[in-house]
Amino acid sequence: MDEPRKWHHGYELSKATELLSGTLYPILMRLSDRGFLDHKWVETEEAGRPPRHVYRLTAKGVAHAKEQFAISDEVGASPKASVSRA
Amino acid sequence: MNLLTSSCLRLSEWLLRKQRPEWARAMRAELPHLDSQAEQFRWAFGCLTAAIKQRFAPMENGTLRISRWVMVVETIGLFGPLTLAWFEFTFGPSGIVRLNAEIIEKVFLNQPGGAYLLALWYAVTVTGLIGAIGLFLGMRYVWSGRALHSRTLGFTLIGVLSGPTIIGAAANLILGLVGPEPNFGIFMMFVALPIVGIAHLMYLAKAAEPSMLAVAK
Repeated sequence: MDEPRKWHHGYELSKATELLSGTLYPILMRLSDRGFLDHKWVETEEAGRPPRHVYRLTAKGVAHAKEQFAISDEVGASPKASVSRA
Repeated sequence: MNLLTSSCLRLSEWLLRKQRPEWARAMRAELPHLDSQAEQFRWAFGCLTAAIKQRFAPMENGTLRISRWVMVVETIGLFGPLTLAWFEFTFGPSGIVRLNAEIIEKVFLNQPGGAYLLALWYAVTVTGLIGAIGLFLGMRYVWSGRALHSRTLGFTLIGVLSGPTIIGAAANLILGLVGPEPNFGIFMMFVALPIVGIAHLMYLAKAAEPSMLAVAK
């Protein structure tokens, strides 16, 4: 949430959130289905490597995430804990 | 990339080939950027897990896309044995429709524990009908996407299935009545699995919650 409109690739998100790919990608797919996430393919600078899929929150996603953070603050749980519980 | 890693990736791509091929490619595209083979395998195994979750997601949401054939197999597997048993106990050579007063007197009532066995015979005939009902409900879900919305009906079916089992087991235990020996396989096939089937049909009727937290389910 520090740079919500910056593009991130899957491995980077996996490391940042400490979620394994088997947990992370279903979440990304659902977020995308609900219009919270933009995604696109970008060429890599390293030769011989395939293009990567990158992601960022949409304006709707940022607003919704902020709302969820606020709710989490109110109930005294970290957003991560809320996500884990869900 | 070792054989195990590439197998996981191939399988996940195959599983997602119709629903989300782009996401399968996206997960694969990350692989060359991981440092070690162990990390690559962990990533690929995660891709496979994600693909399996996605493959079964339509079933959770009560739609039909991929899961209808899974549901056909599940319905036959869970309700088929009970339906066959019901048919045999009702219409088979010794079925309930062929019993008359003379046979009941001779074969059941004049034998030790015969009354209990006769009661069991009738109980199986009644509860076994749930197999046929389950088959119908499962196939209706496959055909129309309509699961078991009535919780009353669902819990009644579960109660009718489990009730005689509990009463029968208690009667055997407390009164020492003569009856069939407890058999785990029979219990699984004719009681536990149909209950799982009904519970699953009830679960499928639940609407998915559109909350952000549910996204992370």
